[in-house]
Amino acid sequence: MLTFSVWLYHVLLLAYPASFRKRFGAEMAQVFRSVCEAAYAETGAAGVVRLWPSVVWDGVWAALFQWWLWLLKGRLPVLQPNPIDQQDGNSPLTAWQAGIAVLPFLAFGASSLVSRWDFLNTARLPFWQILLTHPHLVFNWLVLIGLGAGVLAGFPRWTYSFLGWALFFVWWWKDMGFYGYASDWRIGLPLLAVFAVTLLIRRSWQPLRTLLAGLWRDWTLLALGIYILYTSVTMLYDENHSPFLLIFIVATTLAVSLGAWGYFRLRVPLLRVLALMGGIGLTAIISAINNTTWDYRAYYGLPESAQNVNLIGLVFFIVLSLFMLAIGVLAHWRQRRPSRLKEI
Amino acid sequence: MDPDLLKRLPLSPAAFCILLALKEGEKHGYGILREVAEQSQGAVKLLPGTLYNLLKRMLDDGWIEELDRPSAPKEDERRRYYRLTGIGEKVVGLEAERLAGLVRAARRRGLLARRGQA
Repeated sequence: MLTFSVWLYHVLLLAYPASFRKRFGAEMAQVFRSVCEAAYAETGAAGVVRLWPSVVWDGVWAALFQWWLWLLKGRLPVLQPNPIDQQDGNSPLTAWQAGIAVLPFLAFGASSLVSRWDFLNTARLPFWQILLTHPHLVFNWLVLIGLGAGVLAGFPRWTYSFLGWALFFVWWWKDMGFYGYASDWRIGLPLLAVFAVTLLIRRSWQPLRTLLAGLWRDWTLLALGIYILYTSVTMLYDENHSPFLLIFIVATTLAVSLGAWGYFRLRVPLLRVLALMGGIGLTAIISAINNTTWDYRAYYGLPESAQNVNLIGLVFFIVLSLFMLAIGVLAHWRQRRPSRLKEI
Repeated sequence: MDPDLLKRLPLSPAAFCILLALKEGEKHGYGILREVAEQSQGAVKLLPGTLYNLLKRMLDDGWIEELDRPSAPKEDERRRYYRLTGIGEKVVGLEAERLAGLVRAARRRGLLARRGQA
């Protein structure tokens, strides 16, 4: 009985972080054996059995607490704010951090891809199941989890990507019909809840201060916001029924993610915006290939005059590019200005 | 009084009992556990998870230290001994003073028998 209990306790110890287990595991098992022996001496095997519920409860809570400390103490350095970035708010992210920043772009592309599979498009599911299975809603939950992790970590710069996508989603879904249901302003409540819960856990306004300070220090974040808005439309391929649609979605997602990755990896503001514009340029090329290989006018039975839509799209593209370029130039000029003053 | 230490008060009953147990002298994990149960008359029952969570935190904060001594003969080699540091003594003293103040307040309000009374 005692041997089995101690063996079982060793299994429970596996729930702790390895570093904690390595340092205290043997001692804990030894103390547990002593506790078991005392219980056995007092009331026999029944005493040991009665001990177990509280041991499991104690072990699970203690293990969760240790994991929490493990996360907070920066054992996942990739999630932590870059120390240099905290100083100037403009430093390029490491490759891993940029990879995290790109995750929402990839996730949105994936959700766009999955939503095209008809077997998921069913109204027969209960509401709560739809909340957990609708591709775009799943995307939103993942983004909110990432945003929450970012706020808990003190709002490192990759968190802006998650915040941008979360805000986009609220705007996009504020009056969306889905599977026989309709969403409203309450779609924004999970986002508010994430901020409320994470700030309560941290018991500090520091992540919010970092968020606002970062927005002021790095004007190119506005360009990133526009990029998210624009590229979300391109990744959706709404009303598009090209026979190669899935390939186009994948290609566009990769192009968009590449632009975002470049944005987070580059130091010079102008180059950052140019990386985003490069991403938009690539999506435009892919979109053009899509248009030439699939005749939407024939598909929808539209007249030839519908070609004018392309002209409107071209004008919009040019205006958008110029606006983003202007942001890049302004941010670039702003970053260089203090050094000029120093020279004077 | 050290303001940084005061910020750490009040201690949880378990943390206070552990420090109190170590005030009597160095102890290993199970020794602490037994002493805590005894001094609290069974009100605080520690199990290994909570005990070592608190011990780890106290080690990190420098309130206790691990004793660098070989295990006595016949004693389990896995046993490690802990003792209070100077900071730990200050913390447990401050907490005891805080609790004594509460007890005095309770006594003034007639919730406890005065000294010398039954």
